[in-house]
Amino acid sequence: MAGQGREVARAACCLLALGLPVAAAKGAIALDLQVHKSQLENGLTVIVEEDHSQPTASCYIFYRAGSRNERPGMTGMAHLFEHMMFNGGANTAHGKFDEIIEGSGGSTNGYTTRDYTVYLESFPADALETILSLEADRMANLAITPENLEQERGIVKEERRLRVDNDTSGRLYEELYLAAFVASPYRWNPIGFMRDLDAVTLDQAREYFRTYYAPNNAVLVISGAVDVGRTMELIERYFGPVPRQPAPPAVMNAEPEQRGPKWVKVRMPAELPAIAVGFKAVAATHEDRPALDVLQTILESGRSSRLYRRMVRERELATAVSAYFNWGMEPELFWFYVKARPGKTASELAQELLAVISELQSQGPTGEELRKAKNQLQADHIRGMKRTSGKANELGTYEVVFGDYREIFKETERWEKVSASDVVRVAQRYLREDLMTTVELEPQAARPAVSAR
Amino acid sequence: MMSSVKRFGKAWLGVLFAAGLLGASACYLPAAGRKPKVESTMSINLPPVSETTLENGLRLLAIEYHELPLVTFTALIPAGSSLDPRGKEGVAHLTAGLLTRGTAKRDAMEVAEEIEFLGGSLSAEAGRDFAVVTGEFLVKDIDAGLALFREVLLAPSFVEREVQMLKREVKSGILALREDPPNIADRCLSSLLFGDHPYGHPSTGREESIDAIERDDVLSFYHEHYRPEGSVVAIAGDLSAADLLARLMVALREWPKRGTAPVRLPLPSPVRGRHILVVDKPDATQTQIRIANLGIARADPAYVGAKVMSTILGGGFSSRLVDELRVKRSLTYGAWSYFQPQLLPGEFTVGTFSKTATASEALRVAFDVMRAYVIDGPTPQEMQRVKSYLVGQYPLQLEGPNALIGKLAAIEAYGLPRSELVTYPDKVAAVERSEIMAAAARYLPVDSAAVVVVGPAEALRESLSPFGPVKVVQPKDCDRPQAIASEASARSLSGGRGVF
Repeated sequence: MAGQGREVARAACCLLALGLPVAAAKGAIALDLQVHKSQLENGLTVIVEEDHSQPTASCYIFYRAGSRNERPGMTGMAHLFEHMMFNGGANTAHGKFDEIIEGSGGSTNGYTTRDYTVYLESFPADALETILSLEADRMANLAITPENLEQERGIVKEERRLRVDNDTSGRLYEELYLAAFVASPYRWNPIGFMRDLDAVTLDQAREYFRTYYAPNNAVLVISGAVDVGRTMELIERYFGPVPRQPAPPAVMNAEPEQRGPKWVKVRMPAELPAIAVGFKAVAATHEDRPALDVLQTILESGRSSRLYRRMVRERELATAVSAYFNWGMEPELFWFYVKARPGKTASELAQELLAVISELQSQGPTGEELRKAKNQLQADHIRGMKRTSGKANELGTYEVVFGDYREIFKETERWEKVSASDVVRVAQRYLREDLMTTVELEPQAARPAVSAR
Repeated sequence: MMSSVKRFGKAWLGVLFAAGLLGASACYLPAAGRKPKVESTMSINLPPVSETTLENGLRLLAIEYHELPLVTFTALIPAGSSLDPRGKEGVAHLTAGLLTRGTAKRDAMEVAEEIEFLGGSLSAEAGRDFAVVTGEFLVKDIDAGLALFREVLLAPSFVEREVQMLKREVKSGILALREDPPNIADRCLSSLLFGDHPYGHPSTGREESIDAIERDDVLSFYHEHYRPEGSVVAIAGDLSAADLLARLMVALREWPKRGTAPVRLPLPSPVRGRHILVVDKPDATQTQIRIANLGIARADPAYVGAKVMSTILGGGFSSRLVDELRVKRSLTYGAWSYFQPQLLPGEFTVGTFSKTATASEALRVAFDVMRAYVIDGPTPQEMQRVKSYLVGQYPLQLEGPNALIGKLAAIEAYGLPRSELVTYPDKVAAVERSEIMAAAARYLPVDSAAVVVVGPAEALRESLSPFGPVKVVQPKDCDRPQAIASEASARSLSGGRGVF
């Protein structure tokens, strides 16, 4: 049946030492996932995780096609295409894709990031064959029609109006990446620009489908109450005939080194000022990434974190403060979002944020702070495994971003190894002024929109 | 914010199953001889529920969970925002928020440090009916987790400095949310629909009412409403049920009985006629739309039929509203409908949004869809699909210890029969067409409706006038109920017949 390279990794690793500054063995936690990985001859990677705790299952398909695979002039393509996929394949009656899944007791959705596009279903386990046949059908021969394109174009433009154009934080987020990156394919938001969305043609959609929606560019993950052998038979039957395609073109990232801080203003109607502050950091597979995770947790996670304590509680400068560090295939931003209190200014926010960072850079974290951050990261790692959908999503993400799902079992150890001096080192190396971009929201009085878009 | 998701931005899924529950060793089959089309032969694997009632009247429920080394617990306390004294709206929310901001033993930062050092969580918030205190820890930390739970529930200190700090934090949060059109729409809708009924104000309170709250108000609210009688605590974790229950008993048996009588709130009444409120956002390029009227209480026997009715209209991705507004016309990215499941009838809401030029068209389509549904009722295919969907998604709503006990506690708190745990899918499968027709006729806001539209008033006013009398207000007016008062909210409470 399923081609070469079939492997079974029964992973009972992931020993966690939580809440224990000294001892490691006591209270250790084994994360026990039974994972089977194989590859079809057409290059489709398949991961199956058996979990019979409930009679349900989840199916996640990852396509290595995110907004990083786009170019200026065709932004938003990956996400627009995600929408088009819900019109189903040639063997699915028009408009029936959602109906069939919901009528089988399932739910379905999708999401697009800068790195990949994911299609997901959660359903009663006996609907597995229905789900697989629908997914294979749309991978093999999506119905790409003028009606389908126009329909989804209009819907996606409404999504952009919702998430970006009429949302102050969404707007800041888009502007931050545009200002920080110059030549990285992470510059533009996956939602795309309005005019690019207007310009997409049917031919471009067909070409895009041929290039990226190939079995050799996808990872299929099933988690739940399924039998591995039977599941592989079904996958072979439905996905096996889908032909392999030439590999998609390599992604070009010519981002030059940043040499000094940037400050950008965004003027729009708002109640309170805000800032988004980004620092150029690293990709998920970089050796400094785990230490940056710990750094982010120390700065931002919970009410006892440094930033909440100082900016929201003690100085009452901020309504809310958050820090983000996505695991990207390309070097990502390590960034902060701070919403002001009434009467506080963007420069006051920026000054205090930098003061908190600077203290950590010079004094380092306390031993207890470091232990706390590791405990938080490690416990959250476990919590992500509560649902079959969560497990399928995690397994697929690791396979796509790290190239091997088994990396999931190394994460705890990676965080465990981070020392106080590692935290200081990465804080000094990445959170420095030369790599910084600040976007300020400057509230304006409301006035009618200039464009009717 | 981190990625662009295809589907609805609205947390519509979260409310679908807010009180759909399930429990003990459920192996359910369709009720004999009825509706053979929708059958669920799935068995849901759940260990039995262990329970006890303490001498102080507190009900405790425990369920084993062995998939991950976790323990989760939750308390539902009848101390929600509907019990806020008039003029002090927001006190329930502040009281809940202050539970974790200082106890007899630890100050606010020490509580946060302890929770977060364990990699756990423990938080409290107030909804309309209940205050909910929820914690989750690694099971090896169960003693520390339950000690914290006990402390924040039984011995909060409510120090003056924390009261004042949290008031300022909540007020600035209200201001920040005033930038967000979906939030403005929902906030205004409650005021317009419920007027001065206790369901009418947001649980966070309003700027002025928060100013009026002092520490003594918080203390009296806590002493009056945080009582073991009428509260429910549920726990799930990687230990035996007997062990879990025993630990809860030790933690909470000293919670003193208050002896105060449960509060009886008047029933809210529906709006009559159409009331269209335009909240002016001159800069907006997209208009948020809500259409609502009074819905149904969670414990009403007709609730499940009403839910099937609503799901056909605006649940999932193959609903009538999604088909007509999104798929056929590309007018929107999202369209939904739901009943807010509560002790008293809450709102039934239809929601969508569209670029301003097509906002009135979206509103017209929404009304047309509802009118046609009331007249023609559901098709057999729709009934079958939606029942399968609700039954099939049911076990997925119970994945994870937190989901499990959330539903377990809610069924108790809403006063539903315990059999609901097992029979909910059967009830869904047994819903008759006539029940759906009756629910559509009774609850769909067609001729009588509270309508909130957030967008540029100048561009909208004229196109909306054919739908009914239009009143224009500012976003901040949603925090001033008198400013949006109309005949809709001038309905007195006299219609209430005093229930609960």
